[in-house]
Amino acid sequence: MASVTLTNLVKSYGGVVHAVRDVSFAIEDGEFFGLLGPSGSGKTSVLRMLAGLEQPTSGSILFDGVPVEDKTPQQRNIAMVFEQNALYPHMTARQNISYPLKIAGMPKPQIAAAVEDVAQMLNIAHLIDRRASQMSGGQQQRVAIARALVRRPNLLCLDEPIAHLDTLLRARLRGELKRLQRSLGTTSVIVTHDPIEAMTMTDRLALMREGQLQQVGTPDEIHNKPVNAFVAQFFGLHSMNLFPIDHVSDGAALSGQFGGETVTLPAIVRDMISRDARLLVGARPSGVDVRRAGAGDAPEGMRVSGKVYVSEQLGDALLVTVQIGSGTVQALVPHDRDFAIDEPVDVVIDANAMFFFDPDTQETRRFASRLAVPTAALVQAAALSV
Amino acid sequence: MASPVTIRVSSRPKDSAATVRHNRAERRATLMLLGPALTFLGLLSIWPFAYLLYASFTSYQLAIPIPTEWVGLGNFRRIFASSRFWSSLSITLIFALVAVPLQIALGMGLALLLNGLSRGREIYASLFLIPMMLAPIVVGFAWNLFLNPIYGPLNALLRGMGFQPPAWAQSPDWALPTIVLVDIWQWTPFVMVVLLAGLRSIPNRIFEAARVDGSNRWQTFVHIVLPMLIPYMTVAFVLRFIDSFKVFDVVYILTKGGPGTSTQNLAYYTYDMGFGRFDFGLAGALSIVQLVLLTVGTMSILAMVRRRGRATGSELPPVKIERVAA
Repeated sequence: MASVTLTNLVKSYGGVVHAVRDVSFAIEDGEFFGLLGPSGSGKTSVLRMLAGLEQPTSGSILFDGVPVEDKTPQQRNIAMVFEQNALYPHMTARQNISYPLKIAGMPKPQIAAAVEDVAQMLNIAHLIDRRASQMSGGQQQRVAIARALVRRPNLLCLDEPIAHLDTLLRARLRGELKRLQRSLGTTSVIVTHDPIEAMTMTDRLALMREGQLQQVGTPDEIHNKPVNAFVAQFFGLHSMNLFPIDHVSDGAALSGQFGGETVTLPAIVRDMISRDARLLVGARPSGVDVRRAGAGDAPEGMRVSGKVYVSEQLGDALLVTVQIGSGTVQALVPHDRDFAIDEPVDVVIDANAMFFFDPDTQETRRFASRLAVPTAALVQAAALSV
Repeated sequence: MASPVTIRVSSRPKDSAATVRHNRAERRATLMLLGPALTFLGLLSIWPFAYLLYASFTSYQLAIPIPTEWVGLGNFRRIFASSRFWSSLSITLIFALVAVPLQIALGMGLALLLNGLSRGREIYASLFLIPMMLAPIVVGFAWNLFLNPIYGPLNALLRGMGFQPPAWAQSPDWALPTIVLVDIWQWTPFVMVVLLAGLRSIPNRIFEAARVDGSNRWQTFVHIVLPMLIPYMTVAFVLRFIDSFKVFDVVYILTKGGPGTSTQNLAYYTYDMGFGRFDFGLAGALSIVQLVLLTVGTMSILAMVRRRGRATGSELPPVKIERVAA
């Protein structure tokens, strides 16, 4: 077990490609930490530097306060689970799992006992004499996890370990990995591009973009208190809707332009309007309602007319995409509603579910006052729809 | 042991008249397209082989105008009774079993070196391939000059350094090692290319996984790289083993089988019987013996490798196709 501190970590390739730019964060002992970001965000580079597979260009990495930049993966006592196909193909599962212990010179009876233990833990005892080619992708990853855990590492590095499995298996392994991590208490870092994986498995996570750290926090903090529009849009079951609104004017009613259409604005936006009459509003699909055109008595909020682009039944909810001029909005509404394609509708964004971002810097200026909490059923439906 | 997989296929329904006509036209087209190739194959390969087989059972003498007689297994009996055959067979085997493993060891070393290069791998690999692209006769002449005991640059250099260099191809003790040396010089690059392809096929994450597991370079090589290269090593070994039975040009140029019979391998012995003594019956029988030896040798190497593969379970379950009535 170890705590890990990264300070001003930089990785550039050939002095031109800056994969990681000045990243600092700390991972606590026993924590399940996530590194999340779109592809090319530098998350894998950070993990590989933690693991000792790559040297940082500058910056420091401390394990329990001790610098490890010059140490090998073995000296750091880290273990790693790769994306896929990193089992030694000519060895059985047993030989694969035993390998790190064997070359460390552990006596055979102890190896056998350790392998037995970890195989039980990962439910692979029945596969122990099979080769990689005789196992499914999920089974191979279980063996790879067993090989990583058998050494009782200080730090477990997981590089998209379940990204290549099918949806149901992925959902199951998510839970298993989380339980396993909790029961062993091994400090673990998982790299993923999937917000659901990061959200469901980790204690805290770092969200990266183009080599830069965007935000570090618990999934709840990042979801409900995103520091900027990118984080808000990237993190969540569904992307947050962003409404760049311009030509805001305070005439008979407060209004502006979105996608070339006129938007009616609630009074709360008044102190958010920037000097050149612009606004950047965000709202998660669960905070957006879609009603038939002309239906009255809407709650206080932002209103705009559009037409249905497509509606997708998720079983427990309906995901409606509405075309508003040149822009689109997604809304999660009760599953028993029904919309036809191109049907004219009114979109109402609950004033309490509105986030405000700076139109220039994209930084968050105000969080939503009422946090949109999707029901358990909605979460599940959304998770499976990804 | 994997249980057999049974695939049931229904047999074809009875062909209609139209299908029969169609099939016949197709067969005719097949014959017309394959015909020329088959004719050439027959003329250039099958007929000479059949003739060789026939000759090996006769007293066919090219130079002496005596009638050719059927001698049955006479030629084979003469071969197995001749001490020259047994000595040339042992020279051939010694040559194969010394040169080929050395080529594999050296080829592995070169492949590992080249694989470790981050740039220029292709350039070095093509430079290493030059010996392999030369005709063996050219190689023979080049080495003949290079190793000439009196005028050759190698011995001049060695003498200059104060050594007493051997006469290489002209010395009874050094002639066979010299032939082995030339064969290694020419064919190690081939083994290198095969093993380099094998190394390149191992994904990088396997090496990274090994590093993370704490495996040092040597352990990674012994426990991971070497076992993964066994199929490539088998291919290289079998091809080089077969080729080493056929080495003739270099022997012909460098030693003519001598001094004495110290470098007379089966190929040179066969040549000597056929074109030295014009005893085509005996030469034919010798060729057949070599063919049988090579076939048996190659098959047993492959069977050995296959048995090893089966013991380690890397084999797929046998597929049994069962035809059932529709």
